[in-house]
Amino acid sequence: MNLTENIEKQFAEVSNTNVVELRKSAFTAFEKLGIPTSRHEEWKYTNIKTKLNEELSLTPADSQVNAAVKNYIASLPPYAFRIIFLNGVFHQELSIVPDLKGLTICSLKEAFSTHTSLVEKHFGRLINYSEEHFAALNTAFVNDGAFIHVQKNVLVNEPIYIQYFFTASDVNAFTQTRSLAIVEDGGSIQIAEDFRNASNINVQYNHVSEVYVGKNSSMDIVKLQLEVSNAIGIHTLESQVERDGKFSAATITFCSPNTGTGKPVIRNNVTSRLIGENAHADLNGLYFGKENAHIDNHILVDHVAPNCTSNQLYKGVLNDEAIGVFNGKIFVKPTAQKTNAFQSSKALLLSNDASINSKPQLEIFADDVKCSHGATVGQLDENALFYLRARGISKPEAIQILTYAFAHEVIDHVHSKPIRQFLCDKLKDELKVNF
Amino acid sequence: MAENDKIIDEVVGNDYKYGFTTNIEQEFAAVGLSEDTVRFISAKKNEPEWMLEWRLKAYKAWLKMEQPKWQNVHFPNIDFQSIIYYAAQKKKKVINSLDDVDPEIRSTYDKLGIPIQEQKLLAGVAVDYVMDSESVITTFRESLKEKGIIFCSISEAIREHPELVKQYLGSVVPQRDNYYAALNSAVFSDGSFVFIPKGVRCPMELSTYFRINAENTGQFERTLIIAEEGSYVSYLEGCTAPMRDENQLHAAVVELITMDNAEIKYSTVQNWYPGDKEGKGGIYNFVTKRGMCKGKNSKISWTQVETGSAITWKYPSCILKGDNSIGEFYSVAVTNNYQQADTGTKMIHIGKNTRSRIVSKGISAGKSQNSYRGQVQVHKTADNAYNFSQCDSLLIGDKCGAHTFPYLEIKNMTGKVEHEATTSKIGEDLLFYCNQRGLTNEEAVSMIINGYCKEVFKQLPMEFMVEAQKLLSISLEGSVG
Amino acid sequence: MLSIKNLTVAIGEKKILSDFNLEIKDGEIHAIMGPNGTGKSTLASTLAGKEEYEVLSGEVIFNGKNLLEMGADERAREGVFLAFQYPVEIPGVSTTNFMKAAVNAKRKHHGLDPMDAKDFLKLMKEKLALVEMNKEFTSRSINEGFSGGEKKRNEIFQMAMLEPALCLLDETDSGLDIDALRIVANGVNQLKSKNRSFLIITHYQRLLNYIVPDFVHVMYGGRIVKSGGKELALKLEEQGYDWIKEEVGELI
Repeated sequence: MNLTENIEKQFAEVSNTNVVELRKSAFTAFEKLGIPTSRHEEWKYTNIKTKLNEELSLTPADSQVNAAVKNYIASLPPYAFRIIFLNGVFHQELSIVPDLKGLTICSLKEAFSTHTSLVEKHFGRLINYSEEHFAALNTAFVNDGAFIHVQKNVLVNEPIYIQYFFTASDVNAFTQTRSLAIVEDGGSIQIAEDFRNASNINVQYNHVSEVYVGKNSSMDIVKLQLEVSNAIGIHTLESQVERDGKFSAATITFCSPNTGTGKPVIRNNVTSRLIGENAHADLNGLYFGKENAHIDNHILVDHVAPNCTSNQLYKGVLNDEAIGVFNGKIFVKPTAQKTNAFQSSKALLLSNDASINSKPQLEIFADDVKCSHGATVGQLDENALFYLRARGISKPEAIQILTYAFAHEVIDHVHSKPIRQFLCDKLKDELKVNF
Repeated sequence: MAENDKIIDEVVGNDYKYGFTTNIEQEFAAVGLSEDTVRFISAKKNEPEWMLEWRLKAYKAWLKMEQPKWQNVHFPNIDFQSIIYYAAQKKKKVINSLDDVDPEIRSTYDKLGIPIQEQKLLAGVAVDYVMDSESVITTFRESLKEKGIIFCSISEAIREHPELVKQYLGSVVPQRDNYYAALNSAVFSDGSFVFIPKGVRCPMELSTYFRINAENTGQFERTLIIAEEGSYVSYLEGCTAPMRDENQLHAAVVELITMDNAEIKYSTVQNWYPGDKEGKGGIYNFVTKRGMCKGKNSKISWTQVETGSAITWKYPSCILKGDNSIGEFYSVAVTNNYQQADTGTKMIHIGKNTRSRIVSKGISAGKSQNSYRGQVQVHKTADNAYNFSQCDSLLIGDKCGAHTFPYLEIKNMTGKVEHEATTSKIGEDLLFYCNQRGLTNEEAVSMIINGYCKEVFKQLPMEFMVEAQKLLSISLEGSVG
Repeated sequence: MLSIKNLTVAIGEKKILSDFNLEIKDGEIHAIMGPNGTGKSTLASTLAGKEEYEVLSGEVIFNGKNLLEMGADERAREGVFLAFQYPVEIPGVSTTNFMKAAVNAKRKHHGLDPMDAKDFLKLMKEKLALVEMNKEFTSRSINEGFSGGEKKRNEIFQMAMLEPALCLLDETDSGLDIDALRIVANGVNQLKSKNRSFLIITHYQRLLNYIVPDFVHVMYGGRIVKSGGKELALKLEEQGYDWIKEEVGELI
């Protein structure tokens, strides 16, 4: 049985009771799309089909809380809001969800019955499952997930921390996880999604975040992919931003697999559609690849409405045999006059076996726009290295310091202070710098 | 215009029955492409057996290939079985004086500032002037021959210099390289062959000769230029004057090879018929151009000014194999009305300390779509490779599109690649400023565009630079205000 | 030279100038002052022919010709020069080439042949001295990477090159340090002649210490509400615009 037949068979056995029609239509779309090969332009540098296991099990794996999960939770800073998922299934006991007026946080499963119309209005509507293979698959199969809703003019000051653990013992498990976050007009929220392999095998997962940013509201999302070194993780983050809305996403990936034990692949599809005037999107990313890590960032800013602005800042550091892929697209529709869009992609290669494939792309259909992008690939500045060494700092240490400086710019853009601090510490750990 | 529409309708229309117009005497192959067509072409040209084999190999490869679909252009399917692949030298329609030439074409000649004598040649008012130019050509040939430079048609080279052709033809663009290159390899009609021997600096722009000799080489042109150790040549193809051709599909192949310390400068001005204001008709220009810097310290530089064709699909590239070799690509691509252009370059760094530079200036007006597609590859072996790319797009009007698709693939940590791209427009404020200094919109646009393209224009031989500037203004006439 | 009668101008729905009147005779220097957003720059742009400004009514006669019937480029060739508040940058076009195009466009308009290269260079050299600029300026792309002061000096240089009859200076003094201001004013003073008139729009009295106006007008609410001599500018500098607003308030 080939991959697609296998998936078809499993879909026939799934008995989801929610949004049945949508799931069917998403599955039909997936059947048409299949799992992409490198012949597909968007997957040219990441041949995902050869990386995924031949047999894929899409039924949710069992969710036993193991020691790794417990230990990690114990190590977390005292976040006011903490939502825990094990293999995509909400875990009530481990989660902390205090009541706050105007804020709803619950499992997607629960939201289907308690917030039916709201969920149906957005679930599967923000992503483009007719073109995106894995968003289609996720929509067809996903069982549970995080649901966050911020009412009009409600400002949530504490970040919402969502933790996705993968604990499967079956190597064929292909776990589907999902978040749906809605901020109504004038609201504001900060969210962190943290992905962690808490099993002792290579895991495979497919995550979708759908985000709706209402008029004059703001949302910050930080995606933490710090402990997914032995994983194939596919992430889709789709945001729709209304008039005067502000959306910001930062994707932080540290991938340092144990040599020889896996075929680590992290793929991020980050899309922001600016559908109302004067909307703004910041899409930033930082990635560190070591050993045979393969990190692929695909970013799309879709300027639909006029007078919108967007910024992309992506920085990567690749060592050993790591492979980086950057595809940043700025799309300006004919309606999006007076667009201001900028993109910058910088990659450092620290080893001669590391490589980067970069495709910074502009597609402009309106004339009164200001768009630019810059992409550079290179090494650390020799002069700066020399300067530090002339002050008595050893070469390896100088490299660490300069790499820290290079990477820090992205973390600086994270709005939430506790998360920014958390990331700063992680970065220092990663680079073994202490100052 | 009407005549062109008719011809193009005949070529692409579904109800194609009769082939080309029959009022021109010609000797042509049967419609369509088969092994027999290839044999017929080869036989007609008295080619040796090895050349026929070479063509057949290409034909067989082509049969197994599919038309590429990845370009950012849209056009109806081409029926390759409805094309005539060989027509002997067409007799030019004899025109008695320039007064008989289409006034629209004449006015373009005037605007371009093309000398009367050349105008006559271009329009086919040939008779005595051809005699003149023949003698000019003879003089050129003599002085080239003295230096050991071979400059002739590729057909002649196949007969006279088989050892060189055998060695280099297809060595940079193999028969099965891509769909259109395979097609060209099977059925190419004619083209140019240049060989510059060791240490020789070609004393003239080969443009001059070419331009006077700009006869109809057909839709499948093949060019091969070889620069031996320490030699130099500057070659210019094309012409600023509007070129009309009844062949809708053009699929040329150009191969350049430089040995140690050699340099080839290849400039193109392309102004094929772009179709009318409604987007009807026009040439499809699908070209494969590639240079191989085979030797150390060698250099290949491509400069192109593209204003014509309904669809342009072309990526002059450099394979930088020799250590310290240099590749350059300077391009201005203008699209107006319904034109579509998908053009750019590939810089493939293989040797150590190789350098490349890409300067691409796209200008879109009307309802046109203009895409830059470029690739920079730094292979593992290419220590200290360096590339700089600058891709700018200028938009005129709100119905056009500009697209940038750069691919940067870096596999060496000592490589350094920098890419910059901007998109801007000729805005009201800019125009008003120029108006306020007494310039009309047309004068202002022409001045702004020439400023914008300066970096590319200055790469062209002097006389063409001036014409290219005028050409751009004409191409964009009426696109503002 | 210039006669503006009952000029009413709008951008979109918004009326900016209403029933504006002004007479400028040959050789006169007029200064227009007034608070922000009162229509000063609109006046300059309208006179120069910027299209987004819609003339609803009124007439503007320039040396006997109806200015409003001409396009912006034609007005320029007829001798109306606007020194821009925000000069634009034109990448790749040197000031020399720009001026060559502009000077020859004007000459052609008046039935003259293009200036020969030698004469043109001589003219440039002479005019550059006027604004204390060196030759390198003219080979750089217009205004690209120029400082604020350089841009404004370049405007005065262009004015000198084109020898207009009517010079409109739109906040040429804004953002200039004292040296640049002196150079700009000096340039203007040397260009004064009995056949050339100036309309200087400014927010500050400072410039008028260097260029002595024959008349000072105060604009408010889209029209001139007060006119006087040089002393009016001094009063405005000392007392601000509030007293004008009060006076006008009473009028309206």
